[in-house]
Amino acid sequence: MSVFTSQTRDLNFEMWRAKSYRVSQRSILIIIALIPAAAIVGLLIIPIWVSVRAETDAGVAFSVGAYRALLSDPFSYRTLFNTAIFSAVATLTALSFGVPSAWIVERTTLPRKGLVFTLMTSGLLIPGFLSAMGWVFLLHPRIGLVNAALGLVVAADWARINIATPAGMGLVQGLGLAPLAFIMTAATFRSANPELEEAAAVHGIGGARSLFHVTLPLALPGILAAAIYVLTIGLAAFEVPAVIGLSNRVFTFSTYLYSQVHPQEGAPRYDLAAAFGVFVMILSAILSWLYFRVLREGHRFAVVTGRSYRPRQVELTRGGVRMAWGFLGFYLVIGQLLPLLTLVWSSLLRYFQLPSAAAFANLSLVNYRGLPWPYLIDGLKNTAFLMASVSTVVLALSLAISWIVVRSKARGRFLLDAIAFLPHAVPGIIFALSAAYVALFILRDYVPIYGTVFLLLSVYVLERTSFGTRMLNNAIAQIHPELEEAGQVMGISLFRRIGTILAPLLIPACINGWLWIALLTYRELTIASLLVTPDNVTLPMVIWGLWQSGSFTRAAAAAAMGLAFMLPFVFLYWYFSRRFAPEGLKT
Amino acid sequence: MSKKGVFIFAALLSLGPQLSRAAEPAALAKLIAAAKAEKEFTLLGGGGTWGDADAQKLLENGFNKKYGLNVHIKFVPGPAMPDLARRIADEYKAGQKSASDMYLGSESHFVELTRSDALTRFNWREAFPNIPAPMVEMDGRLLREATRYIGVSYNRQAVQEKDLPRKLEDLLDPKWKGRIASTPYAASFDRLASIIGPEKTREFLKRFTQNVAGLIRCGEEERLASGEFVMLALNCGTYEAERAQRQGMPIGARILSDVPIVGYWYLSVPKHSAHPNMAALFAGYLLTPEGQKVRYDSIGATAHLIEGTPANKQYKDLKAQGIELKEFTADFVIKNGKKLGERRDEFQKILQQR
Repeated sequence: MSVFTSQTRDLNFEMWRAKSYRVSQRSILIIIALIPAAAIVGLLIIPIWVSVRAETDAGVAFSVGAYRALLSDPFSYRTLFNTAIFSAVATLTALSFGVPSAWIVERTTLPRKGLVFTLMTSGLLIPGFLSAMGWVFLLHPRIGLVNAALGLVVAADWARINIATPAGMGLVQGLGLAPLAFIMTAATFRSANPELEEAAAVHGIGGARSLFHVTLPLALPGILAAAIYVLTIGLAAFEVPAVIGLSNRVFTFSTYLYSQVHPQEGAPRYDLAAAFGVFVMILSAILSWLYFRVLREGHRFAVVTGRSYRPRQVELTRGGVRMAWGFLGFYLVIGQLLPLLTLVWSSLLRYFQLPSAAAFANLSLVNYRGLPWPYLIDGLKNTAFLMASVSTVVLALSLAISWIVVRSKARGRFLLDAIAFLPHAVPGIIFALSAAYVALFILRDYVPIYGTVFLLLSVYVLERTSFGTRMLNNAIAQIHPELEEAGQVMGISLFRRIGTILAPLLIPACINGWLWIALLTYRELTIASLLVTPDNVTLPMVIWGLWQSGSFTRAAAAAAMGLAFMLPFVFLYWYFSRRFAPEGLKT
Repeated sequence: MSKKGVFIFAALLSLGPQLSRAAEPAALAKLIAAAKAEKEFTLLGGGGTWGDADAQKLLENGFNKKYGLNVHIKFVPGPAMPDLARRIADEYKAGQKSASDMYLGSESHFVELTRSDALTRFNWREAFPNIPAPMVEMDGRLLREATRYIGVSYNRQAVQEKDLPRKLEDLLDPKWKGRIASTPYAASFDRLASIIGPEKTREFLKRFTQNVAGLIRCGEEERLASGEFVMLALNCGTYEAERAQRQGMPIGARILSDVPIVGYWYLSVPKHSAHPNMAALFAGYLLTPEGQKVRYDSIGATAHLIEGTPANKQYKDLKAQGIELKEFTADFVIKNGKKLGERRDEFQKILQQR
């Protein structure tokens, strides 16, 4: 028979209170994570509904006509084939430049590496459609600068490089996505534990073998995450296929979708577009499953533990420095500098001309003078607000989701992660259509958010949560749970463990994530194109509006101004990210 | 002229707008008064719709001067015409204010807007007696703003005058293979089918698409000027090429004598416009001689039914050449929307898929 004393009763009460407190904190975290997940599911149900909905004379009826039309059209299969080649080449290109660049910058003693970081980052500021235009004028079979030069050497047609192919477009897209692969894998390399490399060195395994047998396998989850991420971007990429492919009758899924949703004349085929969206959601589910398999193995790759965390860098010889700079320089010139120069060059011309005496004589600032300045400034203000707010909210929500997915044993956590990933793979245009529908027809009487910057904020947050969770899943997976377990044994509450143990270790990933979400927000166009009204215009929409009206050179001028506005921002955040990074992580 | 004469002349000039307004119809005076209460209005559209910053300033100044106003027109770079039409229709169904106080589009863009009954019926000729009756369509819901003569646009440096196509068949010449562009939306080919028949159009397109190197949108004259393509067939109106020419681009345009298609740009005021009176007044202004001049200087498009405009002169020239223009109005397109839509889908597929 047990004897209850007031002391044991107090102890039991304290234990109960502590337990219920822990449970409630976990519940709060789950609720925080479920809010965006529920919103995402809600928005994605709409395209499914639209894809099987048909308006008949008798009213609305169930129909699989859209799927039948999609699957019975041989053009769909050709488009699928083009998309597969395009995405594969884009992914390979992005990884080929992004991963080695990240390793060089984060794990070697390369001098002036901060410059590389800034240049890679600023590359993302160039809107994709203007880079694509630049590439058209570099590698167009008839007017491309490079092809014109090749023509002087070899007259035959086979010697021309044709950018207007799925592989050619993939190359351009991949060059644009290399900074993304760079930033996604940089955090992995930055946090890699050198002890295993040192152990390899002790056993006589040289630098190259150590790189391929130790360093790269350690970074595999990060690289695979980046590959899956880039691949899904390739599936839904719009700007490069629109500029290069559409005008040359090379369709990918996104441009096929665009042509259905944006007919210049006649009614849009939302049903076909929605059916396509559903199809991509299935592809996304498969990619998510692959990603989760990698993640499940994440503990084998844990590189930051409580016992030893001393990132060290590989000493480069003089020859190594030259090789590294040669590689980085090659990418920066073809991937960043050439499109940037083309952008500035075209902004000074009334219409695009190859460099010549006549073209130089025509250089002027007329495109800059003719810009819609009030709206450019309005757009800039809204864009700046969105960059700051979207990044912050996304990181907060992503931390909650990623902790549940990676650390907790909650049932359905992988489903939660799959849902968080969906907005990335579902074409933004589908997402935006759903959001517009919800804001216009469902929320209008309760939350009149349509036409405000808060609608953009909400949709951008949901869309970017996929990026935030990929980044934080990867970063949390690499931090061994023993640190938090030690905190739990000491009775530290969940929020305190996250705040005092996990969060400081995540600072580098969070700073990178914040910066990149801000930059991705700066570029966001597809969603904005459907949700922007006069009161919530964004900078990319001003540029896109100019491009859509055929004013390419004026759009280039607007983009150049946007670039000028944004460069100080990039430098500022690069400075702070370095300054506040923990000791040992600074480069 | 004496000092007294100079003074009287200056006084008359300054009184000009007031004197002319004294003779305004009562409906217009009422409209101006209502518009004054609205103070501002918003117009969404691309550069091809409302022009660049200079053009917008000209429009604003001209409008204010004409009616003695001090209005700020908020020109917002917006989506393409069909996207904006859909948005306005959706906003109307949802009970929201229209993003744009006025909509400007081609005859095809009004199918959904009229089906949704989202457009205001307005007695245009009561307020603006200068507007010819045929320019008002669909029971006052649509007002013709400009005439579009459909043809081909070309790079004058790349194509010699003697090589230019004169008839539709000339576009099938193998010399154009891999050099010319068409539109992804098969612009005006559904109208062509109404002239030469759907079967002939289908056969023509199957051969024509072999020559087509790529698809660009109307208004992308810069891509012709750069030499990426040497010609666009069919275009959305020869005025676009003429405007590009005035901007210093080596671009020209020509109407094909056997398919002289004519279309229009239309103005309309959505029922859910936040500033409907201002929008209606501005629409009327665009059809005054002053408004047409500003539109010509900025966009290049004018209305052929208004005497003295470039489109009016071009109309007379074409008539003098014995060319019988085939007009396609919004009324025709809306009434035949289903048939035209099906044809358009088919023709787009031929052009897009080769």
